[in-house]
Amino acid sequence: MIAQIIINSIITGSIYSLIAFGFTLIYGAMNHFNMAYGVTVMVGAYIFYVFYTMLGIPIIISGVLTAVVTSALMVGIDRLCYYSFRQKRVPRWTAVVVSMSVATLLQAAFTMLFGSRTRTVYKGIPSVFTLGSVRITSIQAATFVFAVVLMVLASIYLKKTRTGKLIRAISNNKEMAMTVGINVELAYIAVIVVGSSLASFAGVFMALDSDVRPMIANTALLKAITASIVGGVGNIQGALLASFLFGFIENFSVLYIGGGWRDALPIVIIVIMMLIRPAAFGISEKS
Amino acid sequence: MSYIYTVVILVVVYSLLSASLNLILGYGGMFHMGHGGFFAIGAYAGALIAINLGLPFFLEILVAGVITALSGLIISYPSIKLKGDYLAFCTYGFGVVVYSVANNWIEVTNGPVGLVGISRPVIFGYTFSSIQSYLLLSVVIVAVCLLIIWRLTHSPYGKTIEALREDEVGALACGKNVSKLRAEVFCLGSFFAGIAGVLFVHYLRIADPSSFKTATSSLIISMVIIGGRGSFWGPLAGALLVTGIPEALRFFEISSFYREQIQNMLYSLILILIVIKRPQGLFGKHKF
Repeated sequence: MIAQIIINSIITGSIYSLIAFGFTLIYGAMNHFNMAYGVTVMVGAYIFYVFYTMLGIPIIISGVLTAVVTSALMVGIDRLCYYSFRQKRVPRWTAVVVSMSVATLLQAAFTMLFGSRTRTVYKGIPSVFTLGSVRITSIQAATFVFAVVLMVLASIYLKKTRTGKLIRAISNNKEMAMTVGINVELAYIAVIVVGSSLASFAGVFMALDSDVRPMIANTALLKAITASIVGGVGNIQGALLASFLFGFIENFSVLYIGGGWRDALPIVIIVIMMLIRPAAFGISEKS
Repeated sequence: MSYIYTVVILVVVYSLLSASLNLILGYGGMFHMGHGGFFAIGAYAGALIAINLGLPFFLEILVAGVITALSGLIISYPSIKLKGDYLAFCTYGFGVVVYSVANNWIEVTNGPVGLVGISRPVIFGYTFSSIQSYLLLSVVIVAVCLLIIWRLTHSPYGKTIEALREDEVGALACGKNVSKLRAEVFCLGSFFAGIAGVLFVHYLRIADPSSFKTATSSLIISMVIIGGRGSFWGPLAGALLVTGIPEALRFFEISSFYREQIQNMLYSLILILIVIKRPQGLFGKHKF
């Protein structure tokens, strides 16, 4: 029983860490508290549903197409909405409000297109591996493997490639990066593409494991924000650690407290922690 | 015809809600994203009092308002310490937690089914059973609340709160207790949101969690920002616009499911356009 919950927590944690990776990357590099990030996960899940379940395209190609379409959509939204804010000096809440509205808009649009009921993505019955008392479906195993591979790839991209170095330079010190002639807007597009692709892959895995419904946007947003705040803003390793922590907290709370509280519990924990030890999260007075 | 009254009652309740959020967000300058939580606490407090205690209606409004103000005091404690995105997240989280409690604390809130059997209010032996009389009652109560808000914001006290928004350090240097004032603004805003909640449940006669999702909070924010932060009339106009225009869709043959989605899309589109093109809102004075 406990071993099964630990395995489930690790798999949940790997999905959350994909979500948190992208959120904290965008937050760190662009200093943009993106309330529409949860919706990116939902959009990814629905686009995958269209490609894989409705059109019957092979699973790997559907996944790649999903990432491409979702990233294109998010880059488009960025150019339309947030671009003008970066050109002017505006208070932080404007971008928060606009991203919140983008989230409401996309969620309503997708609810209208696909209905509010759940949609099953994976029609077949996944094969089950049994290790002692622990059961893992092939989808869960694939989720874990692909999530780890994707995060390693994204880390290598940030560490080794030229664009990745530019992104890290910008999150470190934007003014300095501009002074030495880095094209900040170009690097922002790369950030959005990487972040949205990770989010859409998380949506794909969530969709394959259970099913798609519009509400996954809200859950994903909460996980992304809580993990990135606990991990420290822009700190990717911290966010990944926090995601696995929340995966464990969530699965064990379902066992001991009840499934209905899984959304509320991380928030209560994080607000209490913010009050007791704000310095632990690197909370500075940014406003 | 009674349908028109329904819309007007909603507009009236939402006017009070957006005016109360305007105290916190517009005058106080604190980015509060969980106002639906206060609305829910007031609604559930009113429903529980009406079902279990049967207090006189005005006493019920006051008690429910005070309970909501106490919750505002609790939430103001972290909110004073936090700034910017963290404040937004903390208050957003508050809304999610309240919704979760309403959904899961079955013993008190009756879970997703909701509390039923809330009667229309009785004052001096007269029952406001028809929708017209209830509309009249809510208009009077909301008008009194708005009058109080008007007096508050046009008093030296209101100017002090605006001063905190404009320049916190300056207000501190003038000897104003910034944290205490912020907590008071939160209490005041939540008090009026609680009253709006009571009026709302006595109209619907059911308190269920679906009315208090996070979408409700963003709806109230959009009313305040579209109307204009920090102006008295702006949020009222915003409430009229955001509640009223989608109701006009009822004249087309659209099912209620599609209408809700179209309403969400409409108000978020208007909000995006307003923030980009006219950030001070329709009636607001200061740009940022």
